[in-house]
Amino acid sequence: MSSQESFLPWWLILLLGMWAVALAIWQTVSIHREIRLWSGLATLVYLGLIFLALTISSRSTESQGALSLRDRMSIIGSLACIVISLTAGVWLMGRASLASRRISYVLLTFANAALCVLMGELELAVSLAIVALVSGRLPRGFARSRFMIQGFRGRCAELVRIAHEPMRQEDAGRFWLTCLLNGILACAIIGTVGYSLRVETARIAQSPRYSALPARDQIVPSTAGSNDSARATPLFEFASGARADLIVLLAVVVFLCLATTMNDSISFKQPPSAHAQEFP
Amino acid sequence: MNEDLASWSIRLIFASMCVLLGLAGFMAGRSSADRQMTFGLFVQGICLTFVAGSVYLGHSPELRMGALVVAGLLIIFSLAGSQDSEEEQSKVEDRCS
Repeated sequence: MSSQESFLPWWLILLLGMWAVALAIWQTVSIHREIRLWSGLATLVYLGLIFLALTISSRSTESQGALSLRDRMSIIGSLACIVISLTAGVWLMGRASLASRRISYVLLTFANAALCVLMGELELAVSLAIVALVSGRLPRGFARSRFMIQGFRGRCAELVRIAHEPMRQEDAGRFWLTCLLNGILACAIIGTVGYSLRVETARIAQSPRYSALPARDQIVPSTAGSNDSARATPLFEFASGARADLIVLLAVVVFLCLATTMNDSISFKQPPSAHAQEFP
Repeated sequence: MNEDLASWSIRLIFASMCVLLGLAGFMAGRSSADRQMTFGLFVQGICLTFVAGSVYLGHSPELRMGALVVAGLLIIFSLAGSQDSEEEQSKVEDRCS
């Protein structure tokens, strides 16, 4: 990939920031039902737009013009694995039902196994697939659970069911202020981290400031002795190397979402009140 | 962009995110099933860290073996934990009904 082309234009930073905020609102339990519904829809729309932007960017990249369809699909597939894994990790910590969390954990483990396949670690991929299969095994109580008894619509509602607590009056105004601040923070941090990584990884020689990232002259001697066949598997290199800044940003976005949902987690550590209710 | 550095750092950062998510989930977990799943996420992050280190050192067999050992422990933990979550699920369902 050429160093002069940015894979993170300003509109994509904004898109990622909006996605972070929508996901954070969706994970918040103490807001109105309609707000959660619309923020969930917005999360899906923003995620679709991010993938659309990635696809357009992949087509327009000069260095990837000679890639076959299989390679392009591998790039998009590995990006999808990372996004699925990180999103499922956040969902796992949300207030969703046990069935929903279990499915997200299995999904996450399969996504990590697929990533291992793309990295050429087949044994580890098989191990993670076994973990996913063991974790996804339906327990005895699951067959007669509310999830299995309900119809299709009920099962879908059960998957997104989140424990709800009524919002206190003094929290209502603070909520929107927090959303706004988190959106600005997300955009600022995403832009800063993306720019830093791009500058830092463009170095050829070792930094005199002892950066945590190794330079090319530190990596080349250690990889020169390895066989060429290992170096000739470029699928994950294309996928992650060419989209380095974006993937780091997704990680930062998820961490921001995590930070915004921690307050809810802490408040739920208190004993449940008598008026707490659940809604589909 | 320097692709060697970028792809290596991405693997490491992604693995670190799995570790962070797992640790945070473990702290905020409410039930043993929660903790089992987030602990699994934490261990998967450690596995991926080994893989990132292995790739950084030119597919080092020692680190690859370390990743496999951690994955084996994760399989054992999942097998043992599924029994607990089964009992907990039954208790929750009994309470609901």
